[in-house]
Amino acid sequence: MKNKMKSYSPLRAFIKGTDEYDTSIKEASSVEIIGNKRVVIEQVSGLLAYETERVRISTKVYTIAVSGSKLTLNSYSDGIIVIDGKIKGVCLE
Amino acid sequence: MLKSIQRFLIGTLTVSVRGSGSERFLNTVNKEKFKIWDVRKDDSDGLKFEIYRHNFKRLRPAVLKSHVNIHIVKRYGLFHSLRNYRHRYGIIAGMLIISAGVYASSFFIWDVRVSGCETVSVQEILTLLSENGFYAGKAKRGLDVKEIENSFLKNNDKISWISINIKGTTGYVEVREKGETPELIDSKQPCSIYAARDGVIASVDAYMGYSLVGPGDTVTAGDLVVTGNYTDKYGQEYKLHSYAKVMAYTTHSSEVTVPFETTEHVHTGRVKNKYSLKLFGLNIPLYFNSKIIYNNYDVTKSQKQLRITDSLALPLSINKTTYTEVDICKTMKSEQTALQDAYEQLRDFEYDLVGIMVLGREYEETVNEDSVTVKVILNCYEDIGITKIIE
Repeated sequence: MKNKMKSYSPLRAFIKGTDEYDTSIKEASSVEIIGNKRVVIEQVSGLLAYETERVRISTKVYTIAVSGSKLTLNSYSDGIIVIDGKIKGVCLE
Repeated sequence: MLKSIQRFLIGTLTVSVRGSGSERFLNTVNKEKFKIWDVRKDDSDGLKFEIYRHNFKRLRPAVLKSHVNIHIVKRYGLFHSLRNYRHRYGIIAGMLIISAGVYASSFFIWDVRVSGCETVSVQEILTLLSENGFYAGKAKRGLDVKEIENSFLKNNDKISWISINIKGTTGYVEVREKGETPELIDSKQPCSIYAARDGVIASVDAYMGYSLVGPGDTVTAGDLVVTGNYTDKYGQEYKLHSYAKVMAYTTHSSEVTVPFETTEHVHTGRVKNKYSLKLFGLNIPLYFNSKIIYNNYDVTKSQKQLRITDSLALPLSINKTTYTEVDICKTMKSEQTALQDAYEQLRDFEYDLVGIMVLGREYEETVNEDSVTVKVILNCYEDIGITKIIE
């Protein structure tokens, strides 16, 4: 049996690259949870509701609900929201 | 920390938002180019947040769009703090006078720091500098540092180099002391070599001149060892510049007496501090009673110059004089301790003999009624030749 080495094809690499490039992932917001004290959400399109126990945030793909107690919005600008407080859960709706 | 300082300097406002459209208000603000932070619910179901004071007016479109009411709850920052004192004319005048004073004082030298002193004291350098026109309180304008340096070096034979640098209101003076240089005789000058001290000649290496002594000869201080006078077979006289190494076995001796009874200053623990203020060179005592209640005391003085930065000294210093009461006690040393002290002093004497090889030591102890005496005789090997010009 002949042992053939796979040759490098630029076309194959291009097709592979386009497969990996998924727009649904690119447009999705990133949610970063730091301990149980802080949640950082990027690419926020709007704040739907703000209570001290629950914050609902709208993004392009889904709605994120952060639940906890004594929640405050540390900062909210340039589409980035930083929520501080005692975080109990982050739910994608 | 840095953010807090930045916010204090720029000035911030705590703003309260009331109305049903508070979320819409936040979303509208988010699309604007300025920043709000620390958004939280207040007790009456409204919102509170922080904003830079200059951005407050930019909230107006968001307020109109979301139908909410906003009002300032709290102001914070440097501008606001100073605004509270705007009718205190005394404070404003005081601050202006102090600022003007600090500004005016920056045209003078208020502190002179000397470094590089080894044997010459700092006080001596300061006095000499003062005589040459460089002292604390001198105006910087028109001060010719090069001229002062040259004048200082001309009038002083202990210092070989001086550098004066003025930074802020502080004058940094760096000095280099002159080393002890042997007296040099011009090589064209005829000279002879004499014995500097008594001894037995070990060897004479005459590179120039004629040796009059040889190994084993005994010489006394002042004897001619190598002559520069030479007469040839025709009777012609020549005078040479003699150069020779005259090594000899010599003796050095020293005697130390240490008394058994010594006086010591023992601190009683009672201390009295007296402060004075030095303002623009004027000494203002901060005490009423200048009398010292102690019979025996040690005095230490210290000065603390007030400064804004390391090089920006103010014309204000606090002088502290500490009077520490002491009891003068007479203590008796044991014979052993007195002997130890005597040997230590003799060791110091030996260390001071530079360029001399010590071959042996002979000690002689004498115990007196009230003291001990130790005598040392050091057997040495050294160059005893000294050059003298032929007259």
